[in-house]
Order: sequence, then C-alpha cells, then structure tokens
Amino acid sequence: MQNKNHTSENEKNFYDFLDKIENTTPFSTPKNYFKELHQVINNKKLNNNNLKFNFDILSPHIYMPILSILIVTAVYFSFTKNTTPKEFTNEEISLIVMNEKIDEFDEDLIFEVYSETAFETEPITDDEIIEYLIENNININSIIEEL
Amino acid sequence: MNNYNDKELMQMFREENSRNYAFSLIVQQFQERLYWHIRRMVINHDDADDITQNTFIKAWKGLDNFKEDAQLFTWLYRIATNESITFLNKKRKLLFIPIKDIEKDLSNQLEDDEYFTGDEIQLKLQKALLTLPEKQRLVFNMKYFDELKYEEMAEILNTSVGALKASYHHAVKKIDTFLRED
Repeated sequence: MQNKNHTSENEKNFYDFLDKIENTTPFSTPKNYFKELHQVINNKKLNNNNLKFNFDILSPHIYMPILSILIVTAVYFSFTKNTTPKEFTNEEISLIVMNEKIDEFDEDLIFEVYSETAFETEPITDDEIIEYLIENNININSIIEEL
Repeated sequence: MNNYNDKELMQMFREENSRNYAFSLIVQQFQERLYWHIRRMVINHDDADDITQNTFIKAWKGLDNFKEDAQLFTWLYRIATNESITFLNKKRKLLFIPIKDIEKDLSNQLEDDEYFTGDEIQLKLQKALLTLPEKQRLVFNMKYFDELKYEEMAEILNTSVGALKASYHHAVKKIDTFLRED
C-alpha cells in the first residue's frame, strides 16, 4: 500500500514536472519556411499532374520514340535475317536437286563433300576390310593386279 | 487567411473551377500542424519537409475518395503519421540497423541540430522520448504537444481509447524513469 502511494506520488510529481515545461515544440524552421511551403507543394502537385499527362500513350512525346525504336528493331532483324547464309541439310539438298531437276553436277565438289563426310565416320579397321573381302568373294591378288 | 470548415473546403474542391484554390487553402490551413507532428517524429527538418510535401501530394491524389464522415484534419493526420512511420522503417532497412539505434541516431542529431531551440530540460525530454517505442512516442506527442483528445487520436491511429490511455501511461512512466536515471 505504501509502495503504491509512493508510485502515485512519483507520477503526480512527474505530471507536475511536465506541466512546468512549456509544451511547445523545441524546434524551429528556416526563415519564411511556412510562407513558401504551400507554394512548393502546389508546384509539386502541378508537376505531378504534368507527369501523369506525359505518360498518356497517345501523346506524341511517348508514341514517337516507341514507334522509332520498333522501326529500327524491325529493320535490324530483317537485315540480319537476309544476310545470314542458310545451311541446308542433306535431305533439303536432295529435295532441291530432285524438284528443280538439276542434272549438271560439279563432280569435284561432290567428291569433296563426300570425302569430308567420310572423315567424319569412324575409321575402318583391317578386320572389317578382310571380312568385306571374304563376304564379297574378292581375291586380293586381283586387286593387286588392278593397281 | 479565413479558416473554412471541412464542408466548405470539400464543396470548393469538388467544383472543377475552384479545385486548385480549395487544395491551396487546405495546405495553408493544415501545413503547420502537420509539419510539427511529422517533425517531432523524424526530428530532422529536411526529412520533415519531404514527408510534409509527400503527405499533401498523397492527400491531393486521394481527396476525391475522402469520406466526409471523418474530419479532414484527422484524415490528413493519419496520412502524415503513416508517412512518418514508413520513412523511419525505410531508414532502418536502408541502414540495416534496429529501431532502437535509429532513435539513438536521432538523439545524437538533436544535439547538432541548428534548428533545435529548446533549453536543457526540453533537450532531456526529447532524448527521453527517443527511448520510447515508436507507438508510445507517437501517442505521447499527440497528447502532450498537440493536445489531441483520446477520441481524435483513436480515429487517427485506428485503435481504442483504452489502448491509447495505456500507451500514454507507459510512456509517461518510462520518461520519468529515464529522467531520474539521467
């Protein structure tokens, strides 16, 4: 009980202390701050409105740069698409040759292409050569004679 | 400057030709009270200036949706309070420091602040306030400096009168302890 009385007396003293201090805010502002503040806010508000207007997609300030970028991008892609050489697959080449009835071939070129693809395959072992000769009943002496 | 009531201000604001004028009147009518409320929370003048401006810009954007069953002042006060708390939280996140240290930083700023005009006791009181949790500090400022009624504070902070009374009581006790220990 005594403790409680002591606490409430302390509190009372503190409230008295608070009453004695002036409850005005102990800060100041730069000179003429409040005279100019409403003007600053009004300007900011106007800028905010203008900014909103500027982002209207129908405004030439917005659609002209966007359109220019789109045109430049389209031109760039069509240019790079036309200048890049297309690589045909073997099937495509066959189709072109058959459909367009090309009957004149550069034999050297064909040989060159085939020899290139031949190198890409795995090398033939001696056993495979002997097996091939036996299967096809080819006499090795006849080959030597031919050479 | 004539002081208009909320109804008159809102009536002018809703008319297209007096909208800007009405807003200018609202700014002039409430700018000082809002600035001081914000300033007590963030201490620094430049920060308070930025937050006051942002508060009014937000008010300008949202004034169309303002329901006149509340007071214009309490609505503005709520925006200002939210902006101040958001600012302090952002500052804390930006500097990766806990709230307690933000208040310590503000306490140090007080001593070097060229715009602090209080005497030694007021400096001590401000330092004591900066040891309080954010909400208690807010409640103390609103009650002690702004002399707001608990009912008004409850509307602004969206809380009960009982909770506010408890917060104020805790704040006073903590300030008392701080001043005795100091």
